[in-house]
Amino acid sequence: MLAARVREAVERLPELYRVAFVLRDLEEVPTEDVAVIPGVEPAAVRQRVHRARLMLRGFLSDLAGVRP
Amino acid sequence: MTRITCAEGVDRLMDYLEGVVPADIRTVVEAHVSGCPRCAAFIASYCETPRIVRQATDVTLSTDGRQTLREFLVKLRSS
Repeated sequence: MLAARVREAVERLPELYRVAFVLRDLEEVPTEDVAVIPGVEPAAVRQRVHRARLMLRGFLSDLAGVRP
Repeated sequence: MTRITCAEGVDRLMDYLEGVVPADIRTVVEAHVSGCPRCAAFIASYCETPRIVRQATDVTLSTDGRQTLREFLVKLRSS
């Protein structure tokens, strides 16, 4: 149940954020390498991962019943 | 910049964690966090988010996808 809801949260992320988050944070691909795939600057990858983490963190806090 | 707000610190957090903020900004961020329990708690949960997602789900690349990615990155680094 928890796994399904967390997975749903990841799948609900905008694609740009989800791809960056999965590669950088889950697959632990270095930021500079993640940046090459869509052809963007590393700063853009960091921003996408940042936004993904904020969105996921908010969702996880809701699940736990606490304010982010 | 000698001081930073919580919101400004959050905006720079990923850059800070990856070590790409200038040294003077880094010092300002660290000074802020050392005196801001709310930011310290935020950073802890922010850093834990990938681990929690990883443990709670199997959201990863397929084996084939991971292999393809590795091969791509090897070619990239050698080019």
